[in-house]
Amino acid sequence: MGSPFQPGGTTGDRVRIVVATSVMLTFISYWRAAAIVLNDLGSSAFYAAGIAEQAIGKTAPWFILAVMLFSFAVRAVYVESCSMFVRGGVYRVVKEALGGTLAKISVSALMFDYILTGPISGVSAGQYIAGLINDLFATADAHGWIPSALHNIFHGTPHLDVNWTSVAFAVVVTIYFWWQNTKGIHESSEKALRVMQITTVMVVILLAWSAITLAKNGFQPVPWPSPGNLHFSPESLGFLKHTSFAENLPQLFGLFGIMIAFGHSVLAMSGEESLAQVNRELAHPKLKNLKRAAIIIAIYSFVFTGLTALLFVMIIPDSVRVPVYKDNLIAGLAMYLVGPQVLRLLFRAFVVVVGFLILSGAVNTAIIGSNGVLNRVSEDGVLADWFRYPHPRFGTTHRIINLVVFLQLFTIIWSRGNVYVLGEAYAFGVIWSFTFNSLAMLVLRFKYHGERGWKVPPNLRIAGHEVPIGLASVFLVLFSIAIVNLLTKSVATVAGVAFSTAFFAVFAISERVNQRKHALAQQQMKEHFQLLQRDTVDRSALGIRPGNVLVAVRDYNTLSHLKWALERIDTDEQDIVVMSARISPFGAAAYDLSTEQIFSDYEQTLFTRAVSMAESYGKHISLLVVPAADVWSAIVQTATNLESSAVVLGLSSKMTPEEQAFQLGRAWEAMPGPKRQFVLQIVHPDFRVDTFHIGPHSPSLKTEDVHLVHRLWLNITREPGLDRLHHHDILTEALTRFARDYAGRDRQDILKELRKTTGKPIITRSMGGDGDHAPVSPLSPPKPDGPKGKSVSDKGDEGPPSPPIASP
Amino acid sequence: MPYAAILVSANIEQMEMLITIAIRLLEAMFVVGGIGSLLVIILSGIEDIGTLLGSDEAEQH
Repeated sequence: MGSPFQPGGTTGDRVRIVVATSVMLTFISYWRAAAIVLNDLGSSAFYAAGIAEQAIGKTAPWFILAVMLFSFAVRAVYVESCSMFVRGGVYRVVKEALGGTLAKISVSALMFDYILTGPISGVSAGQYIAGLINDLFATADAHGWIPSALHNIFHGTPHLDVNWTSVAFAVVVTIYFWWQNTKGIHESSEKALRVMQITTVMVVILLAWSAITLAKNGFQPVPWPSPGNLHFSPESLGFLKHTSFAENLPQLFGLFGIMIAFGHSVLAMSGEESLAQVNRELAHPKLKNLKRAAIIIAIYSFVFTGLTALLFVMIIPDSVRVPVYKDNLIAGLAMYLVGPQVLRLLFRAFVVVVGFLILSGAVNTAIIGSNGVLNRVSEDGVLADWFRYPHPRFGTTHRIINLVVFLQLFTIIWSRGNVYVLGEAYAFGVIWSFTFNSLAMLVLRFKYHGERGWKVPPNLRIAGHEVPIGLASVFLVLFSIAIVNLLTKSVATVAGVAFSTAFFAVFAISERVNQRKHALAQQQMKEHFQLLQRDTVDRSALGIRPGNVLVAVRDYNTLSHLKWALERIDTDEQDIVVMSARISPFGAAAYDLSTEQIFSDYEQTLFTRAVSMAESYGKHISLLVVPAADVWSAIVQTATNLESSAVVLGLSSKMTPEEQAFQLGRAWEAMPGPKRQFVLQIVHPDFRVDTFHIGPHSPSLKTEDVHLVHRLWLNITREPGLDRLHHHDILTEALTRFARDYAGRDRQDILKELRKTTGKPIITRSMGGDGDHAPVSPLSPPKPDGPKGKSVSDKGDEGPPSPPIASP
Repeated sequence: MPYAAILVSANIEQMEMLITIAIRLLEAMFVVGGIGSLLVIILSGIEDIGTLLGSDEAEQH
């Protein structure tokens, strides 16, 4: 085909497509990054100490504290890896250092970690809730508040089966987040920050109240972490329980006993990998902010997980700590603080609410993290493209989400609500993913001599060679503990090895299938498309003029909005850019993606249809693919970079046009300047169009408003000294007064009036920024101006505006 | 004692000796790594204080 459709020149008969290789991200502050990681890392405070004490006895808190201290060193390794690779997670680092096979093994271990994070968090939250309900039943019964009919049903005090209630709760929460992720909720750093703020309130109250309790009642001593004080349960010796020295192992090998105990406490630092995943979204200066986030995370988790572990043993009596509260120790601690019972019960309820929030958040993080990791390996061709096929309605990688959630639900039911079993298994993924990461970083010290943002100290120079003492030390500890865990955690070893082997086999087979398929696809692609790789998007790359129209496409079955744009735009006057955003979820690759990773089979089909549609109208279109963490930010950033005058979208299947415009407006507000205003046109399948102005713009006044201003002007100009007043002076004065009232005591009244006017809630939260800045402006959902929800700037369907519509 | 029993007993002894050696090796790794990790914590901790107080230099290369 002799194509007139290649903007900026043609290459034979191939269509030229610009592929942006950097994900369009919205950046977050280090506080928000720390909050996201702490939602995962901090959640282990709710169950880690209980699991460790069941395995090694009353001395467990010292080991939890030691693990939290050691997590400072592990954090340093992650900071170094993130300073080398923006996505410095296990897969990328291990692949770079040790090759594809070990990368696949390490990512299998990481998947085991992620798959188990969901069940252990969900079940643990269920334990806290069921425990509270049972205690409330017991308290109510003691006061004679339980009706006898309930007594008869339960044959005594009503109670729930804690483990099965936890299973039911975990299943419900997992299914809820499965649906949310299928729909494509965006990882919200704001929500994470709120959860951590509430958690911090709880931690402060808990620590202060515990200090008062200790001062008043004294404390139970926590046995020192000496081999003699270690009391291993038969399960905690794993395969070693069959050896002849199992009887007195701690005494026989003093240090080895310490290592076993350390290994049983290591799950307290699970979640460090999330640091590597949020790194790509950190605002400038990246390294400094990464270090700040890492310090906050380490100190917070040391205080929360480490100190509370000590308080459990110091305050909760031995008779109930493990027998009653082993799976909900913070709740147990709340019940043994000094003060009236009602107050303690209320605080316990608060603990349960916080536990529910943070642990449910961890369930979600686990699904998002697994999805991210599998997307990442899928982008590398290690997982079949079939898994990445977008959901027909929501555009999410639903097949990966389904797989992850299926495995999580299976694990929840298999565990039958036993947190100890889940915790034991969980440690396998945690320790091995850390070990692989530190080994890879150690190898990279010798293999990669390029620039590094930061290095784990200390490093000695001997005969011109650098010896990475710090990095090697962290690796030695992790590796020795990983081996000890292999021997002493039989459940973890069997489950972890089986799971990792299965995942590894899937990866290996997928990779082979993909290699063959990609060779064919690449050949076909070469015949039809020319992919131009660009780090960032700009007009010169596409060869287009300012004031162009950006048409965002996703589903190749719903391209009516492209058709609408093609019918109305004279491409000799105004360029059309057809853009597809490939959603790169949290945890997936961020930079240096290869074009093949971004331009998949799906994009091929999508663009083939777009090009044939343009051909049928005899018009030019420019094609663009951008990887993005959030589709709205990607559209706004692309429109700004390309100096587009209009953005055309199809009507979403899950949002109203107003909601779509609101999301885009919010992304616009959040984007750092300089930014450009543009018109958003949302095309319905029947070609009706809703038009919105994105960015500040002159509002369209209703006739009665114009008359009101005029009447006011007539009256005011009759006053002495005001005869030179203009209409706009009245508006300025009115708006200034309105802003003052809104900022003052009349805010609620104003909102009430506005709600009456609009007939629906007005969202008044501040938008944009990363929490460090003052709110940009209160933004209400952009809605069409004028009567009956139609925009006065809506000119029927006469098409997008001509350039330029507004200057920034 | 039958020959097979002696052989089994010798094998068990050998196995336990191997396990003992492996355990001692792991212990040595843990001790050496632990001391080095403590250095990492102290040195990066000093740097962390600087970062938190804002006296940290701009991005190093």
